[in-house]
Amino acid sequence: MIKQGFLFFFSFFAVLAISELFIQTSNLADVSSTEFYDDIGRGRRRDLDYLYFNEGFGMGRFNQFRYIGEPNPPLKGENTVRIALLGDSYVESFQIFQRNYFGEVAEDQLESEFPDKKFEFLNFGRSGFDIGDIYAYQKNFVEKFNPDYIIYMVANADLIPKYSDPLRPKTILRNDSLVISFDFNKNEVKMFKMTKFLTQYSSILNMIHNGRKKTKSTPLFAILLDKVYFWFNSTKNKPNLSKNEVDNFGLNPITKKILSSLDSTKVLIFNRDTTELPQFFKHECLENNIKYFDLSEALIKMKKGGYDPNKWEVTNKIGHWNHAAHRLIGKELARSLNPLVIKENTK
Amino acid sequence: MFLTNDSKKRKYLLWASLIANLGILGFFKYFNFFIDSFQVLSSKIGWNLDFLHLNILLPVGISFYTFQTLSYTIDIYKRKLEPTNNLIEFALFVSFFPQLVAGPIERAKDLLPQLKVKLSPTIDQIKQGVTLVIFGLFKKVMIGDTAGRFVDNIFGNLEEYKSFELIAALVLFSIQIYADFSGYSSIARGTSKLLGVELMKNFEQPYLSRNITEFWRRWHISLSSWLKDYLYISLGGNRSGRIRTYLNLMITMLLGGLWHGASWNFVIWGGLHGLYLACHKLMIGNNKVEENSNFRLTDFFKILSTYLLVLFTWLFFRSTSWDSTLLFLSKLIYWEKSEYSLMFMIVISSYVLMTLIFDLFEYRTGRHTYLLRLESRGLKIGILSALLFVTLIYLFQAEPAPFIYFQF
Repeated sequence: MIKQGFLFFFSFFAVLAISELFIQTSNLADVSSTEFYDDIGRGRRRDLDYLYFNEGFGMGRFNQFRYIGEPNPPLKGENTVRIALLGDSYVESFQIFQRNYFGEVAEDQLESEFPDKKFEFLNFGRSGFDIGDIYAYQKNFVEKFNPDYIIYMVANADLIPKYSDPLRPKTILRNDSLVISFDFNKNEVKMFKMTKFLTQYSSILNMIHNGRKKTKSTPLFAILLDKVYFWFNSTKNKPNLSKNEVDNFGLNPITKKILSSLDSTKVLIFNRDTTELPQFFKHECLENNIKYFDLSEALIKMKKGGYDPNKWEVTNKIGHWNHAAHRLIGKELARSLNPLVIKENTK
Repeated sequence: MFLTNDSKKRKYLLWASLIANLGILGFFKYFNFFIDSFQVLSSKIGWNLDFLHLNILLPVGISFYTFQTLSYTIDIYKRKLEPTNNLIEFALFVSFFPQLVAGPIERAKDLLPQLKVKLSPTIDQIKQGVTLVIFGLFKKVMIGDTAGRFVDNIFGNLEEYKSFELIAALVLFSIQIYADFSGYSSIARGTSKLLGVELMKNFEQPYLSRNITEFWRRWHISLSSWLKDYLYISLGGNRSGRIRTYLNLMITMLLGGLWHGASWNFVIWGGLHGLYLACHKLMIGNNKVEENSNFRLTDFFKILSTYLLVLFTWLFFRSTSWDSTLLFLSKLIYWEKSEYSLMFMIVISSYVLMTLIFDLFEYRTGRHTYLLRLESRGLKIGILSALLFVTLIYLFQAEPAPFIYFQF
């Protein structure tokens, strides 16, 4: 009996180990791609290849400097125009290969227009970032890379700091001054540090972790029964997810303060969505001399032309920008930056 | 048909049955295919036949149970089988749920007698059933579905990917379709065993075949043996001279391709296999194809070359259109270097090795339930529990994918 028990556990864990090896080498499921750093809180791990499936299929690498793409060091080369792209998952763009990324498209476009210059677009996008996170990331991390331009790509939902991740620095107001607070919840940090070894090195444990997270956002029976559950529950009222999150924007003092403290010679703000940003926000940008660009028109035009920029045909999902949208955004970005580069050259 | 000795009458009845069965299949599966193909020609002389195109909903598994009922009728005609007088038994034979939607295509002489008696699985059958279900689930979910994510994304956006990435997608498709379909067959066989019913093996490590003839003895066995018994032999097989043999092989495989779906891609896939088989027949002459499990070094090259031939045909099977097939081929000719070659190499190697682990054990033991040969109960339960555990964990946080062969 004891022998059989031992053999059971031995074979069980041996198969798990082989499965783990298979899962990691086939990239069937990822290990956790985040790490906790003192300077930026929860960030991307250094030197980690990733492979992502959801709406699309993305492959790439978090470089030694903790962002996606070619590892451009903080010190910029001569005759180089460096542009830092900041925003949420749309900017991070896990859904495509790096070579199809809108930053790469813009880089190619600008290099063809200005052959004597080198352009570097650095992808500092992070899933779930809002304007407060972007600002904190810029101040703590991005500015170390000496960018000539810093591009905020935001949508309506990003305009109010939500502090959704307890392990990210918070942009707060203290005595009418913007402060980036590193006052992390100690229990959360402790929990992360305790569990990170498991989720960073074991895909199986990370899958369990993801499954646990899924049960928080989706009812267990919906996961287990899938379509059957939704057939039976189709008549029930669904929560209204399209609640306008910017209703109270005008009252948000942090966003206002962020806009007033940005360096208008460097920072450019792009609306990355098909819905226009509120007049109040645009007005605030104007007041602070921040250059504002709107991609909504180009995206809507594309959609009206019969090609939905957010539609993924293979997985039949609506989500982030698809390949064609990346090409469009890249070209629009290059078109917007072109006059600025010319102006800089003239100087 | 069984009761009468009048050969003319029997023939009429057989034809009536064939026309009825194939008519239903033809309407549901091929009506639009032929209309659309005709439309392409007619549009050149200015005829618009759009109105003839019908929005037909294809019944799940129609190709499988049509062939099953055809075998019933033909076996009765050939007096190899006595018809059943019990409608419920016949209905159960046609719609036996474990294999209804994607086979194995069972013969009435094998399945009907098992359904006549009270279903009472033995302990051995239950053990084998559980093992087959877990193995099948692991292959389908962990190997097939996950390989399919690469394949679908790359084949769905061919223009965005580089040459080596396309090759990787094709190799992964060969693994996906095998893991998906053989996984399904294992689950079907396992579920049947749990009910006390034995179904035939549908796969016998096809990618370890040393030639194309052997491949077709190991791949989708229930279909290939059906085509051989009811089509190839009916056409005359190899009894009417060499040229006629090659022609019969071509016809059989072309129709085998068309069986998979109403598309010229499947016809080309079948045609290529027909061509391979005819060439192999030409090469070996009257010699029999040897099948032994003793592995020699030269066999490695034979296995590899057979696999590469089969791999090429999968391109036509997976492509959704002529344009995409041509784009794929042109990208192979005008080679574009990929920065992710190494990552793709690792991914391919991983899938190939995992598939090989299952296949080599099966190959050496000649059993799909080789695990049960182990004496230790702890080992057996430990391995099965771990496989099931990993599969369920993955399933829980991933999105479900349908079986590929459900569409046929």
